[in-house]
Amino acid sequence: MAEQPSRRGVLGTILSALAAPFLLPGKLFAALRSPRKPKWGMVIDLDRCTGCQSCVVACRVENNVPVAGPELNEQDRAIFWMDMLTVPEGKYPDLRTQFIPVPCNHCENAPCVKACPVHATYINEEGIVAQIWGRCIGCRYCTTACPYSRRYFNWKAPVWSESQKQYLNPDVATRPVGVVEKCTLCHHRIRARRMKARLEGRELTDADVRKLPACAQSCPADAITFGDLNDPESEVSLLSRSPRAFKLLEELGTHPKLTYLREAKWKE
Amino acid sequence: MNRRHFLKQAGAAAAGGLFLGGCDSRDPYAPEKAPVPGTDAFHTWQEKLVSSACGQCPAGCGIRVRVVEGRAVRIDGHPGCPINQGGLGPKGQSGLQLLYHPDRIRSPIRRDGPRGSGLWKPVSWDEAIGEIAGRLKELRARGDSKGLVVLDGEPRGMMPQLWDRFLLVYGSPNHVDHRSATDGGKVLAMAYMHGVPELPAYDWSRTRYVLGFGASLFESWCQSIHLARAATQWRRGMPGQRVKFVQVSPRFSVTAAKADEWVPIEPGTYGALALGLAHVLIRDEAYDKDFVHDHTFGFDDWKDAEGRPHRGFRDLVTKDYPPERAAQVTGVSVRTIERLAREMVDHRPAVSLADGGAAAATNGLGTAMSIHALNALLGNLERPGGMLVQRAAPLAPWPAVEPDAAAKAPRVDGAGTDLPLARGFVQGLPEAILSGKPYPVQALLLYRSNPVFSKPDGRKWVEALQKIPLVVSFSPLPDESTFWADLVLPDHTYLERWEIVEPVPSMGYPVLTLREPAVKPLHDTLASGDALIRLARAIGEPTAAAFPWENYRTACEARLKGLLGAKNASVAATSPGELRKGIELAGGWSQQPYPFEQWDGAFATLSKRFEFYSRTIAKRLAEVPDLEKRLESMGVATRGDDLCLPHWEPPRFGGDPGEYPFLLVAYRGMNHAEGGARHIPFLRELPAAGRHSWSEMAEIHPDDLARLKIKEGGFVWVESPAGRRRMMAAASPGTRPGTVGVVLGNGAWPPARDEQTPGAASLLVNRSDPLAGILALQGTRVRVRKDGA
Repeated sequence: MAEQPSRRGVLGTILSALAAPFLLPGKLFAALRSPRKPKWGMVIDLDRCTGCQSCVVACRVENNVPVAGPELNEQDRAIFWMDMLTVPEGKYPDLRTQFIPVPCNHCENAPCVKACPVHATYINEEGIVAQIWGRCIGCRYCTTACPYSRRYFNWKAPVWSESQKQYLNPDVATRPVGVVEKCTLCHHRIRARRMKARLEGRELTDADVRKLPACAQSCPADAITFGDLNDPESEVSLLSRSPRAFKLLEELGTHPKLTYLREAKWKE
Repeated sequence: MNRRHFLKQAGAAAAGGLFLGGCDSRDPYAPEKAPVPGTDAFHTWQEKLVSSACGQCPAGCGIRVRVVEGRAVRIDGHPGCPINQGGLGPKGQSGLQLLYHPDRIRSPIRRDGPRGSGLWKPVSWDEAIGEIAGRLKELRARGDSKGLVVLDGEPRGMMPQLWDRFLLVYGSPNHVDHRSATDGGKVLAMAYMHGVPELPAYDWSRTRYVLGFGASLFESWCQSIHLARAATQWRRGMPGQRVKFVQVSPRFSVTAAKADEWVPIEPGTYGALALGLAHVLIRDEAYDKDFVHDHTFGFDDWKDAEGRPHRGFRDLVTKDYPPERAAQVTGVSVRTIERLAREMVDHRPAVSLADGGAAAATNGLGTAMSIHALNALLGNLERPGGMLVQRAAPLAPWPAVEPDAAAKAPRVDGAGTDLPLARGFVQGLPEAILSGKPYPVQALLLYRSNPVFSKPDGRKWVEALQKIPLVVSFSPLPDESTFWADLVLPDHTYLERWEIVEPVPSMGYPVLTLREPAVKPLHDTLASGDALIRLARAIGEPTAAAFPWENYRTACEARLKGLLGAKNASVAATSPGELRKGIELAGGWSQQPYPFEQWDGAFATLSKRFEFYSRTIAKRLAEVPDLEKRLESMGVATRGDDLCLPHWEPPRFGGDPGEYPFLLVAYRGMNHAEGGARHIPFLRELPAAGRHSWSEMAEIHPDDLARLKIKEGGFVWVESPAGRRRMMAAASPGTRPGTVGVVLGNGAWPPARDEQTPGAASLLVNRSDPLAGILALQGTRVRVRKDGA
């Protein structure tokens, strides 16, 4: 076990954190109130994806998503912020199956946001479709409104065994029964990385965030890219302009910030 | 507090986003509980990243474990490790569920009732090891040392070498691994054609064409994570170019779906297709003539020293495998065969790969050799973009030991005697134990092995375990085999121990990763390396002298010294401390580039060439008395020189086709590969498996389901001559009509003791390649019956 700090030490840390903005040198203070806001987006290259589902597990570990267990899973009530859609087509032997990893699409014109009667879900200033768990009344209008089924209702309170509690991520709160939860694009990681960068006296770069979310970091095939869509030179911006790019259910006009790159096959 | 320190703390506090000042009990506004369960103790902000190596499969990926206040909370791939380069598979991601598994065995236990009663009593390590040492010492004193069998489920690395050393000195030849039931065919093809009994490696980054024979590259290939990286390179790494990956398999697997082309084939006929392709290459004179002339043996007909003529590969393939015949056998059209052959020639370097599963049939060795022979015809061996022999890292050897004479005794599993071409025959052990032939097994150590669940004849294994006077398990979790043990010496999980990891072969050049404990051991467990060293000491002479190290870690460190000052190493170091730091930072140790085209010593066969005609096989078979009779009784159709050449004969299946109309296609999936992960909830609940993922599925073609009037999601009994198992019927359009797909390694958790068919493997009729001992995963017929009908 790590060494225990004195209470004074803990309080001191917290006070200093709260006071930090007032004590920082002028340049850094200005940096904290940076005027240019990023717009976070993601690109998933289906040609690289091998369907291993590492992103799914990585997301669940990172975001303290509980295992549903056989019963809830049979009822389709398991929570997967990052899901793996399998789309089989054809008849043996003329078969085709697509494996599509789907996190929240973080739509610019998000149907869920419009449906929420209590403003528990909103698009934050960096483009993330966020959810305030404490404000959610559990009406599930948003889960119905989302054309991608990317919102999950907590039908049961999560059950953590004593041993499971040990590995919960201390950076992410768990959700109680009766609220809707969803992908946050690992915003806690973005915040931590931004703070680190600013303490080094610089802004976040594309290289900082390219593989920042847990799914992107874990992907063995390097299929998931994350970054700032407001920066025309960022890798996500470049990739979203690829001729292979498409969005899920584009025709609905939801304007997802998640772009897919079509699977290609070898041609002579 | 200086400014820098202050800023760091401020950053950490803000970044963490959790203000736990409220934990103060005197604070009137303190919340009753911390917002995240478990965080009540997270308040020191002490955080570190520990470089280590994953241990969830044999790939040996480098990892970094985020440890907050002594608890591991996150595992991610090490960006520097040449194997995974920052990525990590689903099994690796779920490692924390293994570390903190609630069912872990918390201390050594001794049975406190009859075998299998489930009554256990905790004992101290000294007591447990003392007892085993006493029994083994007595055994040795009686002259029965060869009655000790170690069943070892770890394919590569320090532990198998320590077991080897122990058995060599103690005096037993019985270090039995699981290869004959997993990758056996591939290893044997390498052993007989290259002279190197090890899985092949490949130069993935320069290959231009990949033909996989059931090669589950993206699922259960030993290096699936590296393959995901390599495939990215094939597809998107070279603008304007794409490596074509063709997958041949009866089942439309994830790998088949992700391949550029999928070629469906009759089960068990991979070898015929490979020989058909070879025929086209030779007929069109499109094979690499220079390579075949300079570096191979047995291509053309030849005469031995006594002047007897022998058949060459060219003759066999030309006469026996015209594409028409291959097409008839495999169900792959002549046009496709001709086209695939031409494509391979046009896109060199091209490689042909077998999977362990592809060669897992009664015709396994011939099949694996046929698939491998294509590589020689294409001239890709030891060449950039081709197939390589994995080079070993220059680890310092342990001091040599004096082998005991009994270590040369014939093996109890019959490998090398009853099965002249086998290197191990784990699935034959229960029969050998029960019959007491060739000699009785007196003690069995189960290291990373659960044969009752993972091998055929589960019930027979239970009987066999009960017959052995001493059974010791090293399992960190309870399992079907550990139930029947006398003593359990629970191992650390991979996040608690220190060791050198030798990944299974992949890129050819030497790669090592270092496993360092991320957390202190949670329970009173001990790394099995340490347990073995203590056991060897407790036995006294002669084993004590062979294990002079203080502990497992020092034994590993002694070997690491060999890496100091190695040429072209990714980590240059002059001292052990520097080396360790360097490996931690780099995520692994490697020595690039691979020495291509070093023909001297490339092939360790009798002819020092690549052998189409394996002289070792010829030699082994010549030593078998009454070969003809034996072949007859074992049901081998091939005779003469063809047995030493890549060849194919029809596979044999257990079960009468009338009674059992379906073929069982048993395979390994991404989550359950290499031993199963039933105990890890994250892996049992993967979305691609659908909402029934917790159930065992029998995958059946929708037309077959309709014919049997079975509804999807209904329960069925899958019955084979060996046993029956209740499974959920899944309508699976990718399953070949007339076959039933069953994933191996799935099953109930916690493990059940009294199952008649303990695991899906127990559905398999225990058949093997009769000469080489490769378990026939594709060798069983089944029928499907509606539950309750």
